[in-house]
Amino acid sequence: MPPLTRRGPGLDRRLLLKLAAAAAAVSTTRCSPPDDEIIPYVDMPEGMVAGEPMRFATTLSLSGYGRGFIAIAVDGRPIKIEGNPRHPYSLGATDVFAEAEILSLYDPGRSSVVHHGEQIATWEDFAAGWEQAVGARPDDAASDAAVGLVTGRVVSPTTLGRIEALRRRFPALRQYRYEPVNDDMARAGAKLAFGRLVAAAPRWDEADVVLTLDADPLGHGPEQLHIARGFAARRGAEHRQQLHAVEPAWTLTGAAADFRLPLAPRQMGEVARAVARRLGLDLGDPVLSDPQRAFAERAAEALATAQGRALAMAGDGQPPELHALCHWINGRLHAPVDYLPPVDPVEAGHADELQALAEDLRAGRVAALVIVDANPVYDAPDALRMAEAVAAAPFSAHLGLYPDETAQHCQWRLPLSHPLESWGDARAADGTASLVQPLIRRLYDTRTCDEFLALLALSAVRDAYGLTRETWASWAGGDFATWWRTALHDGVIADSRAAPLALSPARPTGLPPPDAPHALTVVLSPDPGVWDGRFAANPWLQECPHPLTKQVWGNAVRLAPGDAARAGIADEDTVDLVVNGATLSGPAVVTEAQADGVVAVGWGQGRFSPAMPIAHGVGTRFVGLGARPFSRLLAGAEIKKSDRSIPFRSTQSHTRLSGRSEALFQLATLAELATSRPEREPAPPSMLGIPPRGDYAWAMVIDTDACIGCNACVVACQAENNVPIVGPEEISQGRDMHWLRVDVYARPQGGAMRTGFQPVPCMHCELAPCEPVCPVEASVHDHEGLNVQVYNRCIGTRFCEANCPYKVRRFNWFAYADGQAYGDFAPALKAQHNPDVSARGRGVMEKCNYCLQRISRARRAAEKEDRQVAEGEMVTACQAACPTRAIHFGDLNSETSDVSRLRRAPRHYRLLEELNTRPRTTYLKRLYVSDAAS
Amino acid sequence: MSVAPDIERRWIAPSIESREQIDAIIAAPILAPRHTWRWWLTLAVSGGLTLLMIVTVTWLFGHGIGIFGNNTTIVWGFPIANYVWWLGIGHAGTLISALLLLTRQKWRASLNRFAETMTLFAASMAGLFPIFHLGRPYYLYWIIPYPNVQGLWPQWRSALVWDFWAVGTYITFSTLFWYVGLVPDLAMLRDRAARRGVRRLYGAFALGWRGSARHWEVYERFYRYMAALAVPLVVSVHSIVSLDFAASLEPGWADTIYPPYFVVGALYSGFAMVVVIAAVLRWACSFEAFITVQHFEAIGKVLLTASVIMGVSYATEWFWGWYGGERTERHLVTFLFTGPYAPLYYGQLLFNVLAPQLLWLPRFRQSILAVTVLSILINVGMWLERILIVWATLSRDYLPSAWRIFLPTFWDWALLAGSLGAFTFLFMIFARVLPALPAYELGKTWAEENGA
Amino acid sequence: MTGFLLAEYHTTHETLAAAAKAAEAGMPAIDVLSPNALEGIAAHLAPRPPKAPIGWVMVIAGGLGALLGYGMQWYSAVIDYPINSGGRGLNSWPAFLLVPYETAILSAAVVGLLGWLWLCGLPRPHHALFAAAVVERASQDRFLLVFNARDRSKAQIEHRLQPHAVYEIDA
Repeated sequence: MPPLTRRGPGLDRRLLLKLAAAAAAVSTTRCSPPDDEIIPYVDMPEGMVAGEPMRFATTLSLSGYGRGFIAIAVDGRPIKIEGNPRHPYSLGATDVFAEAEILSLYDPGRSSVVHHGEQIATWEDFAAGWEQAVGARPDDAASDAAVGLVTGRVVSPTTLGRIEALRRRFPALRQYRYEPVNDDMARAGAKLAFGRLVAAAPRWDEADVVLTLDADPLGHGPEQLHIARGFAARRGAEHRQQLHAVEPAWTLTGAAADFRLPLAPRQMGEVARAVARRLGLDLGDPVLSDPQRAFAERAAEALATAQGRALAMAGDGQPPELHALCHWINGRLHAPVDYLPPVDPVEAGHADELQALAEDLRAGRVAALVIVDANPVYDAPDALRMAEAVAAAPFSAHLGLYPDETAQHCQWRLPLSHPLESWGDARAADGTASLVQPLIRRLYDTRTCDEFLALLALSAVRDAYGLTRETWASWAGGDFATWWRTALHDGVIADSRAAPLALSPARPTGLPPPDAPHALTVVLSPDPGVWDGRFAANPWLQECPHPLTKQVWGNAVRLAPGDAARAGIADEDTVDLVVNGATLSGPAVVTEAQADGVVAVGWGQGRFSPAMPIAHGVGTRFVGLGARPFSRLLAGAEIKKSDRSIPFRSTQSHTRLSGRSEALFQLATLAELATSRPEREPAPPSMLGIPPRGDYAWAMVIDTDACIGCNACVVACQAENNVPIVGPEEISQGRDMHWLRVDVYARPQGGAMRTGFQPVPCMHCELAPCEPVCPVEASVHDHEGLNVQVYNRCIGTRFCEANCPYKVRRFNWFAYADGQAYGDFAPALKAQHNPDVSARGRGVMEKCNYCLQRISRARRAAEKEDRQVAEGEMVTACQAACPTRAIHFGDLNSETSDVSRLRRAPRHYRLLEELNTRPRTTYLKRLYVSDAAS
Repeated sequence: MSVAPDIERRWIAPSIESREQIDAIIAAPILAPRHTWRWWLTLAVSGGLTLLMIVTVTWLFGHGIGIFGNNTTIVWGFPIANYVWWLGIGHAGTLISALLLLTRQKWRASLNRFAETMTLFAASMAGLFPIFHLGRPYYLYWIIPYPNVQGLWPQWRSALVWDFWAVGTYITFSTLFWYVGLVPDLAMLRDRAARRGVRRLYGAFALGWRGSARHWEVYERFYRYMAALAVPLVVSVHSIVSLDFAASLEPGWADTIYPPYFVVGALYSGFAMVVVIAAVLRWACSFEAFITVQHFEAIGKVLLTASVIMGVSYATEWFWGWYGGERTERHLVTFLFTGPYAPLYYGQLLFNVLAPQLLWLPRFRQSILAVTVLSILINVGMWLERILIVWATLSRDYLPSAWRIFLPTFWDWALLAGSLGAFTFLFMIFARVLPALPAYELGKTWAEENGA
Repeated sequence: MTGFLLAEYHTTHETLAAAAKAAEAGMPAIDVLSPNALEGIAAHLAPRPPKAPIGWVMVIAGGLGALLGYGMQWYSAVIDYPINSGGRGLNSWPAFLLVPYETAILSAAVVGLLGWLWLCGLPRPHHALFAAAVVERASQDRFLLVFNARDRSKAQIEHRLQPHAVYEIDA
């Protein structure tokens, strides 16, 4: 792992970016819709109106599972991803990964041409090379070559079909399928409980009580949007769901919980033991301290008394036995869970498969290695020495979006098409199928997985469009043309979800006792920004703050205060993490209410492919630790203060809020709420009188109780408003550009830490402090109550930001949008830019404007029909993205509007109300079931 | 001010025997300069720093103000502090001159000319910084009311627009006041100059001044009225500067004490700078006869008074911060004493309040060296005060999530050093081409003291 | 003959005494050239130098400046380009008071300067009196009583006023 800063990699990054950008500039000049017919979403006018956005349903995958989204294209350029309400794993919302795909599409760092070694080659060259390698004679296709095919989780019907076709040609074909973020433990647990593989799909919105054991259902992942919506449905005061979270280190689920218990991972089973006993299954006496036992028993009681409406789930780090026990508990509780046949046909475990790959390669059992959209060299632990294993293969080809670590060790580097320029299909975690349709002609001469596999199999049909139609023609039957148009239009294939199985879990015979306590246990989890590393080259995600540590451009080592103190490590020190011999370093973050003896680190950083300038050398590659791949828990670790120094780059230095937090981030228990009465809007005390309202009075209300801190709004805002990237060096200077930030609050209450999130866009104060101080009328109020910033008028005195109590304004210290290091994306990014939003030049102030461009679009639409903009017609980018619908936006002039109603709610409050800025953006208090926290 | 007029006291050393001698000494650096290596060295150093300033500004305009240490939260930094500091220094000149004139302080004559000059140069330095600090300096003129295609006017409620008018008025006014005071001396130089060119040059600027009784009649009135205008002007200018902070709702800024507190601070640093320059001139141009220990003692008393007022102002801030009970305000006060800027803050208190108390002792008051050293400390302390006013509040305002710390860059320091160099450079030139002391007033004083 | 006679003195006292004596003797000087103002000399001169009205000039100029300053703000903020700035009233008079304050002082000073030049008849680089070399000392350490040569003679002055020297200037 190269150190984070040696001879300023920033410099290299800059240089490479300049070249890359220059290259991309050429390619993006010929944006146009694909040749094949694609079907616009909902009632869009037929044919394209210049400058008018068109919306197309398509599918983006995360760890193999498809999620349906709407891609917005203007003049043939995709510029934004939004949710598809019809798709069960989007439900109209997006997550950071989906939002950021738009940037990956135009990323100048993408692989764009076929490489043979260092030679630039063609697809024909590759085909020839391949045929030669598999020793097939042109006349007969069949071959006995030992082909090794490495893929991620494959659930796409078309791709599965392609693999079958390939197997027909190469009977000896061995497929190695692995996903770094996988469900091995859950699958094994299901086998224990049901004797077969099943996927448990909880109906979250039906649960009154939920107990999570080292699980993070609200955290990032393919199912986040689905679960988060169910969760949101049961937030607020009425029919509130009780969430009991037991976890070693903070997760989004823990932050959202009403009751949270920090507990060493090895002890999770003990809580389950207590619950089981309450439900009449005695697996021995749980080994817990008194407060822990109390917590467990309260949870058990809550579960037991909520028959049919209670749910328990274990995390991917926990052993199969615990998963099995949770299945039994859920069975016993008649929990709202569907048991679905697994979408992933492969039986074998992910870790086993990766290990097998290493062994087979080393044993020379693979004559021709083909890696499709996977990166084993990065993913495999150092123990497997994957790099040399791959390099040893007689023939090796890598098809990927980036020239990644694995590509560096393969003979052939082949460029993969981006989903937004591909045809194809995918299945969601519950089997719901949807089609992938391209919004733009391929930017480079790339191939989709299916096309590539077809090429390898010498299939008759070679183009993705044909292949996809082929797959579904048989499935659809009847009038295929209509079926096809509907499928594309809706973005979901009707009744493709697998039917739930009627299963009853076996009664567990026992639960192994907790293993002996270790000094320290490392808990690994995928990074909320770059996931398992596949998004590490995406600067939006690198600069998207970690929800809890607010770290950007890196990954930290999170320590419990006690352990940190014992090792003499303070916040932001660099710490050496030693796990069976291997030493990795990272900046320390001392986190309160993290279980003692737990060291939490994230996967996905520390990419070391020199050909990926953005990702290269950022953070530390903790995934390399451990003997077995993807182990979520590593026992017997040591920490010591490092003599190296790795900067901790974050956008929020203070999370423990020196006494002010009760005013800023307001909490209420259900009891308090019941007694508090709705507030009335106070009359404005003003010497000069408030100007009259215009046709509209836009306002936003943010429900901090619903917010799970997923950052989707942050990236959505960045995409919608052409918010530039500033890069690690600028972040270290204390400069950032996000118009919308999510403040994280941690405050001790009721003997535990209450952690919560508060998204902070511009407050659009009616008595805006930023306006009277502007000498040139760059910061003014418009007649609809928006506090707008006139970029062209701004001379950059920054008095407005100095006088803004909320500090929501952002200044272009350099030409971030162009010319500056990360601005050098500009040539490529111009294609991504939202044409309705002007790019800001050097030396001007910018800020959230409630998506002014969307407001005027809505107003224009309304004026055409000579009516008012209707409630819900105007949706801001952050609001659209939010998976929990925590952001409400609307018109205060209408008494009945959502926002007017919420502003009268008892939970409603204004940030820094005492300053009488009369903000238009206001908040709903975070709720807790009771004061008792743990 | 604090010095009562004292007829017995002689402000001009007995070494002066004739009135003509005064003119000779004062005109010497101009008409018969002896350039010592010291003069060249100072010129070289200050010239070098001026060059550094030019380089910095070029770099600044090329790359944007990102080259400074400012960040998302602390959007103001060195330029604003330097602006307030220089303008503060720029205040003493005119005020000393005007106030001492109105109160008929004889010792004024030895100071007013170079004090006023200091005002001009310091104010010019100050005037530059708000421009350098702009994101788009080339649009500075948008804060000036002029008919434009955008149909827009300045936003009159902004303290920055007030600044523009206050500082603009102040620089113009001070220039006039300074020039009017200079005219009789220009005539003197015209009449003493040997070379025809020089004669014509000074003659042109002397406007044909003959010292006729009719001239003097109007002159004396006009000059006195100007002085009477100068006092409220000076007070208003730094009050308005203080409104850049006070007319906000940031903790620690929105204080009613700011205007008086800024004005006193301004005089304080200004008088201190006068002392430094007086010490240098005295030594460089051999003005020992006119700038005597008594002058230093007199200013020493003024400094002492100001230091006490500053102390009271600081204490007032702490008291209201605590008594007001507003969390942010209280936290800000604690932050000053315990936060990362604490060393600077203690330095400010030491230099501005504690050290000057030595001036209670005549031994220090009557030592030119002591008063000069203290004055330098005071100028450092006042700069610290200004930078902390900017930093502390912005580093710790309402939302802790936005709290940050300011880390100055090389360019921050370069611009500050550069402005000091440019100021000195200008002063060197001034001392070479214009009388640094008002010959006719000293002559008058001498005549009175010697019953001539 | 026409021209001027200059009687040279070395100190303020000598000059004032001589001027007074001349006035008593009914041969008052018409002017004095001196390196600094002489208190009470005006009384002994004929014609007596008038009291300069410069104060009034400056007061009026200042008043007009203030009106202009406020007027400009009011017109631009209320009439010409009204905007909602932080919900403040269009005519935010408290905030509008500072600019007039400055414009008042500025205009008073500038007009005052012009007034001074005009009342002194300056600039006037060439003047008959400059013909005498001794006038050069008048800006330094000499005091010169100026008489009109038409009705005075050098002898008279030397005899009556005991100057250090008398100089004649032909006009």
